[in-house]
Amino acid sequence: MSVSLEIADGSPWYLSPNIWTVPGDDPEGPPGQPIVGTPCYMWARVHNQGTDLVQNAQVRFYWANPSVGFDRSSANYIGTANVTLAGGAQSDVLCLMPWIPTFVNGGHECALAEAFHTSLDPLPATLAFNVPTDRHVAQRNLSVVMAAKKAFHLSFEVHNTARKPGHFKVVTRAATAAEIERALGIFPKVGESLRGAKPGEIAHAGFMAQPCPDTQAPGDTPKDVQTQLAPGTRTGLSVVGQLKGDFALLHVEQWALNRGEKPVLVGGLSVLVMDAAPATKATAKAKA
Amino acid sequence: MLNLNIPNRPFATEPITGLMLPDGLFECSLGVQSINVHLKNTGAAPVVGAQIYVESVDDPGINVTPTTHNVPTAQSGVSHVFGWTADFSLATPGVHRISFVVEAGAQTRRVIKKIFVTKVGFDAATGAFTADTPEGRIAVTFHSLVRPKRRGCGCGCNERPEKDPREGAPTHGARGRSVLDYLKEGFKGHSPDFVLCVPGYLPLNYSVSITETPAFPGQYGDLPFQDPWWKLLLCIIALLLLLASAIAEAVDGSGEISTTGGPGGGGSPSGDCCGLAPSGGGTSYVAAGLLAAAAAAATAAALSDARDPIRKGQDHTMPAPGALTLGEELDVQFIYGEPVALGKPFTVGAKWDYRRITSAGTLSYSATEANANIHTLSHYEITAPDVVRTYQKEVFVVKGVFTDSDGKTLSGSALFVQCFLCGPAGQWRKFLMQDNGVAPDDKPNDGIYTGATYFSTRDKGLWTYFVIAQDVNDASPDLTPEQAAQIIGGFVRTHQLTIAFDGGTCALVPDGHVNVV
Repeated sequence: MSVSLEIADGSPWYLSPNIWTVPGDDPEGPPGQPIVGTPCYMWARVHNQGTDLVQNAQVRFYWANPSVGFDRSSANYIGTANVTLAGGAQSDVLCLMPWIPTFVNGGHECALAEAFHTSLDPLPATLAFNVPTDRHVAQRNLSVVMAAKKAFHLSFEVHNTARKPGHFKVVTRAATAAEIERALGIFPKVGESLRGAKPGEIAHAGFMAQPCPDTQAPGDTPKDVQTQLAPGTRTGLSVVGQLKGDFALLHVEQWALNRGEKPVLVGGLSVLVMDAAPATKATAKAKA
Repeated sequence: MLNLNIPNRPFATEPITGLMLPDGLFECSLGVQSINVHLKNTGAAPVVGAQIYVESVDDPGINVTPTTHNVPTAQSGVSHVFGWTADFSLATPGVHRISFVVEAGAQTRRVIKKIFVTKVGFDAATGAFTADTPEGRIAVTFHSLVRPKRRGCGCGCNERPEKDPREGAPTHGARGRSVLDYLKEGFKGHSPDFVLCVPGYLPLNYSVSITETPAFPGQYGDLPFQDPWWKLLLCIIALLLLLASAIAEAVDGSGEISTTGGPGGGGSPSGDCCGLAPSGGGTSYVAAGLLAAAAAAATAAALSDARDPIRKGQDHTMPAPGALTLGEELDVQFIYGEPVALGKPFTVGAKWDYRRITSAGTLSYSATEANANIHTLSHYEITAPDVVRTYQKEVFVVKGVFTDSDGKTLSGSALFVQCFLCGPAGQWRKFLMQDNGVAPDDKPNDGIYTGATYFSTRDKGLWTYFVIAQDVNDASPDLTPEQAAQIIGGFVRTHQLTIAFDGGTCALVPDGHVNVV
């Protein structure tokens, strides 16, 4: 049978628009950012790229701390939903199990979903999610942070999910205009409220080891970090920077540096930085 | 827009007897149950080629077996029953939500419905059976039960083991276990050797204690699940105890439900009742279901659907300004003046004493009243062939027409109708009867519920069948809790069982027999 389930990745791949969250008591309400202490419902848009009907496929939903390179053992399982899809059809799938975001990492979390059928289209037998290569899985790793006095920070984790030691490089990358447009579509309310606001950039982007760094002392932070991680371990970092303009989107990427091989992008997250004291009417509205 | 909807709250059917639980509530101690819905085409045009499945549940303790049902044709205004198997063993008691997805072609509709889940348990320290809800805990201590006059093997009991394993209070079952444990652990599927023997049939005298969480100010507290009266939980407990007792008795002879002397004393003012003596296997399961339904119906009738004694007690005990109600107590004695006949307007008296314990003292109110069962049919007719020839691959088609007390023929989703088949070798089977115009039913909503099954050549012999119709809670979601509480469903309306109080054998009347040749 031709059954091929997919939750499409985003661009970059860790910013899928096909996973979204709905905060509040109404699971069918408008998408929005997870709010600490408030129930949050997850959705995924699942596509059957095959030609045959699949009945009772499963969609599993997870959350994780803002992190790069986590796997099934380190992600937090939320719940499972079912979907029946004709060949070529797609459906928005709701996980009715509410997820209550906590204060871990300031309430910024990453969402992930995977669609499969146990016999007709099973998942690969591995703990790793392999988001960019496995069509079953998609990830939405977007945090929205407010920059106080134009400075911001976001704590996150770097994982080595492999069974051998890993050498990783963590870097930042400024988002393209197209990527910003797509990211704003993930949280339509935020995107709508930023209409007319001036996209800016992040200056002095870099990394610090402290979970709550002094963000008002920019300029001397390393622009990238190289780290050696034992199998199955993780380390914490904070990305910091200065917002120039009303808002900006910054990507944090984790590259595996295997000797003799080309670097491989194994994880990533994105930070939408908004001005906490907006100069423009649009960002004031967004903050409100 | 896709006009396939689920107007009513999904309801539970339990695995032992196959019947709907009172008001369709789901119960953790039963483990695996069926989640049933009426899917209705609320539009003007027929819908063709639809399907429905359970998408998701909000509690990880509710494990639904994924199933997609096809709905080949859904005519306008017509309801179809669908069910899903789900394990509620680890469910959290409370109000839960289930999302159903209905699809037809490119159209999709998501319907999110509430269900109510109870968790009945046994408190060994107090000897009380308890039921937990988000609004509080209700505890029931039985002081006396109406028992069959013919005891022991006269009602078809198994011989007790020579070495009775029971220790301490019999309520705990064998080896100190709660009799409720038998609901999941003792039921291993329908055994042709099962013989119904229940030591106690109907509640007679008991005490109720409700601890609301949190304590509440003012005159009225919350209803459980913000919907039914507290008495509904008494119905659930009465039903579960009877089922558990029947299984425990069959498994190891430990189905006795212990009673304690309490307010009002024990003993029945109306004497002991008749005894049931069904044959083993299928008939015993049907009898168990009907007996449990009778216990629930008697409880519901005695305590009134319009306003139960807890609410009436609250009506008549106004707490002092600023005082909190910490708990409520109720002592109840039922007075059975006439036979408890399922589906008929039998009257049950109740003498009850209500106490409201507040932070400023205890207030009380007492009443004696008599209420009639309102879950009735004036009459019903069942038609089915007397003979089915398996060599000709004949189908066994059963039709039923049910008329309510006002002479109105009930149709469509007004009833949940099942036909139970009891075979000559102790077999137990059931099938749905629907009024949806889908074969074998001829015409939708004409008041003729139809179902069918096939027999195989191995089924030869004389089979007995019971057509059991239960009403459905059709309260609309926009009602207030007080309004919704007055509408309860899940009660048996057909007339197969009468429990009389003059000894002898209870009338267990099947709807017919079919000779399978």
